[in-house]
Amino acid sequence: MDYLLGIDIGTSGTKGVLMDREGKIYALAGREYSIDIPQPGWAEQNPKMWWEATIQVIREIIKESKVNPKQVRGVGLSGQMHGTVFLDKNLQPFRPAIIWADQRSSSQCEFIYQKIGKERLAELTGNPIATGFMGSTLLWMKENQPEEFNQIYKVILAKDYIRYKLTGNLGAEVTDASSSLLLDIKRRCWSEELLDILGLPFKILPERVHESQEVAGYLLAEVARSSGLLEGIPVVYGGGDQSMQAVGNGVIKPRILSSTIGTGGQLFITLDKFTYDPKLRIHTFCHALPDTYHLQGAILSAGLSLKWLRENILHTSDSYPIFDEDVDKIKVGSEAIIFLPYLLGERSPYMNPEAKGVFFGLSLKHHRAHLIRAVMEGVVFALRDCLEVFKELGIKIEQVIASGGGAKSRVWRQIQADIFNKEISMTQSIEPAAMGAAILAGIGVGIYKDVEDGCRKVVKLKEEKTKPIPENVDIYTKQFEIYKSLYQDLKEDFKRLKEKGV
Amino acid sequence: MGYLLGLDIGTSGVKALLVSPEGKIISSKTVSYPLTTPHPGWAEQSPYDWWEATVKVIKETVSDNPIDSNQIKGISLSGQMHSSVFLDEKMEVIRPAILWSDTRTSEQCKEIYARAGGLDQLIHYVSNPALEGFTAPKILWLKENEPENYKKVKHILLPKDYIRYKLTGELFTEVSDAAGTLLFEVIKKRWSTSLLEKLEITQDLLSPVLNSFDLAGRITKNIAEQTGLKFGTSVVAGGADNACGAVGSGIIQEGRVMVSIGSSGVVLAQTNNPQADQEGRIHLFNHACPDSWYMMGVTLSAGISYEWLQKKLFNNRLSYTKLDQLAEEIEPGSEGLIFLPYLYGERTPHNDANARGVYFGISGKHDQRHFTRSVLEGVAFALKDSLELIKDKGVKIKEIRAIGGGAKSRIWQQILADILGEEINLLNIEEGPAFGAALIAGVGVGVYDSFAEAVNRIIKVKKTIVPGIQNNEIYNQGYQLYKKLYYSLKENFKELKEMEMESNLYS
Repeated sequence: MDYLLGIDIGTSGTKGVLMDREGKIYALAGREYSIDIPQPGWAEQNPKMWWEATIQVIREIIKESKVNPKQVRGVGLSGQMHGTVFLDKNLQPFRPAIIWADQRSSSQCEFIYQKIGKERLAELTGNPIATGFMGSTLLWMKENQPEEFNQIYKVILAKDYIRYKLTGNLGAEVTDASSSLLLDIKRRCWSEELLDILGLPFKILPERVHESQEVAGYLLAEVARSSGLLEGIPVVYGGGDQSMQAVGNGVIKPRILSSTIGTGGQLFITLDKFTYDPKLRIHTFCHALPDTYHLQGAILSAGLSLKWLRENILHTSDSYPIFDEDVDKIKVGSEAIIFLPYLLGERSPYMNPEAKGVFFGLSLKHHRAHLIRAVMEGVVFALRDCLEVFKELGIKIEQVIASGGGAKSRVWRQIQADIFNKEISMTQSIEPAAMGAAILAGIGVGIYKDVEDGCRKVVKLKEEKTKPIPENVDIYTKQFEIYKSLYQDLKEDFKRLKEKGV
Repeated sequence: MGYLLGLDIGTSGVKALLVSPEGKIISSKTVSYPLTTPHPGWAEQSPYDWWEATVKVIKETVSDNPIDSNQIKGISLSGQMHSSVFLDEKMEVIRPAILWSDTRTSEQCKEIYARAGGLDQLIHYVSNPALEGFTAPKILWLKENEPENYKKVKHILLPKDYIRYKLTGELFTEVSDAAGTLLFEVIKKRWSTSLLEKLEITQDLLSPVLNSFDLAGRITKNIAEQTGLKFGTSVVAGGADNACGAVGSGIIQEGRVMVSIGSSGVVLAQTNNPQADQEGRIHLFNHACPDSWYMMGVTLSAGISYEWLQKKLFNNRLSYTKLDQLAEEIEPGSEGLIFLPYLYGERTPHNDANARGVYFGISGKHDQRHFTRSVLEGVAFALKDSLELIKDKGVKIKEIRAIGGGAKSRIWQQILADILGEEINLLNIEEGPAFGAALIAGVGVGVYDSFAEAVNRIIKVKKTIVPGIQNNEIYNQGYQLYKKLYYSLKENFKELKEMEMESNLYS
């Protein structure tokens, strides 16, 4: 038997899966941890915490699965994107990592736009700038903590640190690197032009940027001892969690749209040639397959909106399945309530941190279940808003794969089918990001020919499909028009709200 | 002793108040009756139900207390405005009364504007815009939709005028209710012959118009026997519920303003210099005291908004007291959350049936407390809209008195004072329109020399709420944004309504 190990170093915890070459799971383990918020708007994590969690997860997996460690052929990694791990000369983290959710670098973001210009930036990186991206974080540090900045020997991303700990080799790979804002995305290498303009030294980055499926190194003896794995197992570069999740769900070809409703929400589609939005409403990143890219629209408050409603407003102990029953009784369109889910501002497609949430259209007949339904619908409208940009760029959609906590809700899946006007499928993959990493490990060690081969063997669709219902599609089509105009009509008012501090 | 009986023919029931000349409540009784909704947006009641309930409530009042009916010197009436009673030549009711809250007459309102020659011209005639609830569009509706019934109509009465007719056998109306028909020249105090002509309604259908404090008749023998009242007891004309409510709160001189937070919210200011709003954003009606008018703005969902929050959103799990406490934990301004209370469309100042409620500016930090406080604030902003219009018409505000269920909430009182930027007075007595009717009866039969004497003797300020200057500044910022939001969203309200109609999303 051959087994493959995939580890996902996430924001709320680290998870691992051990599967065979057919994708059958033999063990699954996780360790949770939290985000440190030393000041409002800051977000940090200690890389050592990730490392300890990783070792614990591996140990538990080996123990629980009872497989012979000799049969574990390779290890792959997935990780939270964008953030920065700071290493000193001894390759030790000398301060906590500043992760993707950190917002301290907003003025640096402005500076980057001014310095480079939106158009050139789009061309070079395919990405709008956001706080918490490695590029903006480094500028912040240079300006605000020059001593710490001078201490930097290398900066890497979260899972790259774990890979370094596993193998002793420091490296970078394309998917995560493309989320740093420092990559020349078209050429898939660091952009000297960008680094120059931003005044960042080239030498602080790992020299080469590798493809995700390449073998990066071999497990160190000391790690073998502490983890229960065997020394010398190949470890592949792996990728950012978005592309790893996509691989784990088989989203590796154009025209397959992945729609994820987690805390945030993401739309993801594979590109076989480099395409970007010149208006920077959505992201283009490198995908884990050589020479491919993916488009990504990210909304900030997806599942979070429903959680907020449940905990902050309704104060209910009702579980989400009960929500489903209640919401099912409410007519499509929530009898004309529209919710804008901009509780934290919005990323795609508006890139507006000032945007706020809105319940629009309330009347006496509405009760809590209408609001719950309206929140579910509003979240999917926000995703559809991203989809409109995809369409504008000429992207065609044939299939939609739903994932994340939101996909567990039958009602929410139907809402997705109706608002996207596409049939919704789900895969059987559990922990798709870790499974995606395991698939890459399989390619690296030669168990699979390529990603397509790996996905074909590992990823299975569930039989249950959710088809759009034409009458619902009609209602949502009309409602979406109002949804869009609400943002435009309220844009100035969001700004005023911010300015007045009311 | 000259005891006074005030009757209020309301929408949910009839209330009878027996009051001593010093304003002491001897008896307070209510008998309720149903409201029917034959179609969505319709609202009807049977005038016979009102009458039966009235007889019952008077009988109970007279029999259940030690005051001899000989000592009741005068009776007067308050009533729901605008609602139409259609009588045939035998003085029988032809069809159920169409109520003030009925919205079936949108087409007829358009027709009235067209026939009158536009909004300007209509305001020139009757000082008010054509709203669905008013009487004139109901008459046109009947003519167009139930011509058989219309042919039989010999008299069109308002609810309390019908009840007064039943008590006395005399047909009259009076200025304050006539003002709500949209057929009355409010400033000149006479039926508008020009508009009646344009709408092709014969003036014969309408009754002679008295002052509110004029003697309108006496209790007939038959009714005396039925109710226990004394034969020949004076019945004074009375007034519309808003006018009576204002009298009952002492709003009888220039510059006094009543802010009422009931189901709906009302801002009512007495004036001796009547000026209609050319855009029809605010009402101008005749008051119950001599040569006196009031301007009135209405926000449709005041207490209703709070009730909606409590019942529909929070599932009845939190009491109003608890909600008040939650609201109090949050700073003025609800940390940027703004509520537009248009759950039922809005009357003043937008006259927009399509408007809907909105929570604007939601962020992840907001919780139940913000959702609660912003409702209280949103309703107060809506009331401020009316007050600002009244100020625009040149009324100098001297005193604001708050009444109604909402005004009993300490936090809501303070929010109101802070948002209006004015001191708010609370009164020793709050018995609503029936109490005002009793005072009008007293003026009419001479128990009091004047309205001023009655009011000064009985109605006292119990407590004054002072606005916080800082809070007022915060709220002025919020109010600017509140006002703008409606205009930002106006088109979307319309589109939402159209979508709702097309998709037939009605429940």
